[in-house]
Amino acid sequence: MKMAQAQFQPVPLPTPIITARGVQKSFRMGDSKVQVLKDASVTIGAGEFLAIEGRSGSGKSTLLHIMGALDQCDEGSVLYDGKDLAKLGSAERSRLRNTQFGFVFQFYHLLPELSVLENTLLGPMIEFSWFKFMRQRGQLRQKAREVLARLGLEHRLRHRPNQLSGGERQRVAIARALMNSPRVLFADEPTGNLDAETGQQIMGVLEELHRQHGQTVIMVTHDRALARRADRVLVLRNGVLESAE
Amino acid sequence: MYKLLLIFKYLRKRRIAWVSLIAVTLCTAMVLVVISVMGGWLRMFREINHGLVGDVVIRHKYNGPVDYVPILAELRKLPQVKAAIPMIDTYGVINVDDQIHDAVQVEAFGDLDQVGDVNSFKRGLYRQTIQPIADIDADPKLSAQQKADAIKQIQSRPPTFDKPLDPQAYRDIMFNSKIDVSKWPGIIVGSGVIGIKKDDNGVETGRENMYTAWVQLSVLGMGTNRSDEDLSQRTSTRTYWIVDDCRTKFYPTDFRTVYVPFEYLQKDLGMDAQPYTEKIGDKTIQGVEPATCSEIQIALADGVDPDAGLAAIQKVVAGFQPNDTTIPLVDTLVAEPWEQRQAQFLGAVEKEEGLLTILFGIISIVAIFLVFCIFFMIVVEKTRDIGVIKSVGATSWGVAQIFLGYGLSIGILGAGLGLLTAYEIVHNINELHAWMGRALHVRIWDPETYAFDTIPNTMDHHDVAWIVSIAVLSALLGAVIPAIVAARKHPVDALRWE
Repeated sequence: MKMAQAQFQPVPLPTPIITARGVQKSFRMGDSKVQVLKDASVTIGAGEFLAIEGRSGSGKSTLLHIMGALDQCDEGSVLYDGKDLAKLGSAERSRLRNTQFGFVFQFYHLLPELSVLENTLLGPMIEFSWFKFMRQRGQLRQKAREVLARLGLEHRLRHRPNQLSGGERQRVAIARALMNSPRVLFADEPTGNLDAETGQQIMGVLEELHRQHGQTVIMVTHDRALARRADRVLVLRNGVLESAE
Repeated sequence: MYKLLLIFKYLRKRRIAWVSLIAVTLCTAMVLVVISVMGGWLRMFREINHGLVGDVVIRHKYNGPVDYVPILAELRKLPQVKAAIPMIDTYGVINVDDQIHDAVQVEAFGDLDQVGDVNSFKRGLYRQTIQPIADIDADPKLSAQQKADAIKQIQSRPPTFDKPLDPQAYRDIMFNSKIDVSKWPGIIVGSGVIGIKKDDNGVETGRENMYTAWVQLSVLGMGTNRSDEDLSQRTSTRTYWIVDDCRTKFYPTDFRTVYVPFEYLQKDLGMDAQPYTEKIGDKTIQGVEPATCSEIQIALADGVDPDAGLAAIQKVVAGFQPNDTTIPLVDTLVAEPWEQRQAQFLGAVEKEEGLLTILFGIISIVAIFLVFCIFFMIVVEKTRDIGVIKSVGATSWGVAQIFLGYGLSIGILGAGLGLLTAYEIVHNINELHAWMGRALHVRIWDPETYAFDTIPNTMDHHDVAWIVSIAVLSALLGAVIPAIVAARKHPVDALRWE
């Protein structure tokens, strides 16, 4: 009876948020051309935690950049919410990166002149004009404080990146990525520059975001163990995405 | 918002940008000081040269004598003319109290009651104008109104050659003389002629015993229409008592000019009205050579357009040109504006100012290049940050604006600091120069070379406005290419940059 009931339950299909079809990308290295992505295709559902695993130089960061509207593919297409990213203008792509996507990089990429709070507020500062930002300044600062507090950085607001540990810097980078409530969080080797324990903490943060807040996360990593903590794992091999199983 | 924040942060944290800030500051200050001094110099030159000759001058085209009496009579009927005076200038040799022997320019103004309206001679007289005004100014018992009235009264008095000492005092000085030396006329000397000058503390020295000194002046009169005349007979020597000294502030004039009563100089040069007898065939013709002068100096009435005034005067002059076209050098009288009369001085200074402006403009290009180099270095250094900013959603134009705004800020700050520095230097330049003279024994400003004994110390608002604007634009210009380079950086390449 139980089995029969299970057979009739409909499997909920996640709404596709990003779809990559036959993505190709090559780079010129001197006189030769290296094709890193040959035919990468994937559909990512809203609220999914996808890990793309691959060896160094396999093109996983390139694929992430293309899906995150930081770069463009030579052939194929990437659709976000059904819209082809290649057909968007430069300003629209910038707006997409600002309001819909968040990025976490291996080397944190915080601006050294800005404090933790200012780095976190970078997204809203880019989004809003000076007048609009100043009008909402109090609310935005409060939100940044809350995001930073969630990541355990409430005591570091005025510190500069060079006064923080690697793990703290990466958490600031995550806070910055989350500040505009992105629909998709792209993480490029987020633990690659951290020791094992700190790396686990950062993974914990990403998992928590996904599980508790339904955050869509696309993470690329060369670490198989980390990749397996995602909902789904794909392997990028010879420029093509394959299932990890 | 992020642009303003990053510009502010980069200004504070990127110390290399301070080098470009200093470059803009120094270039702005340097150009402002030079232009202010040169511009001030030119303004002083114009003002003083204008003061030396009045608004319009009528002279003989080839510096010959001018039959001034009928011309003056016509000129004074013109509503466009406020005042007009005859003037004689020539060269002479002086012996001052057997102490100074020198060649000088000799000037004499007729109709002294109108001199004050025409030129600045009266304003530069020490005993008759400068000292009494200074005494009134320093008198604590007088109210401001009383001072103003007293000064106005002094300024309205015509200059005189009256002697400051009583006749007996002069006779006592030359007690061995068989003649009555108190009857010698007065002479006014240029302040530099008898060595009056400012010391390093700005105090004038050299007037001690000045009014007890006699001056023997020799001038050479020109022959008129008589080629067989013995010119040695025309040399005239006359002795005077110094009655005042004149400081026009134009060094070449003050250093080399003496002023004597018009009628004496006119007579000594043979330019006064002289009867003559001439035999043509059997006939003997008797006549009077008219009195002449070197030039007529004219002041236009207040509010008269200079061109209209000049045209009216030229019309009068045209009526006095010789009708006989067989006479050589016809149309010999010219009426010209003061700028033309003093063109040899003004033109040289104007060219010098233009040349210096070009030179310092070239130096300023170096500042633009420096800003460009430093900004380019900053863009290279900040490549990864540019990638980060773009990854968070900044547009290429937004990134360009950061660097343009950065350049603009450095331009505004640099130009502002340059303006402050220049203001302090220019307004204290004479004190600084005096201090350099005292402390370092360095005297850069030689009045003999630069014509004035003080360095111009005012700034022209127009000059300031365009120099500061150019400085700001230069810094902005230096930032344009780095800003374009930054804007065109691909976010992925920028993020991967090492």
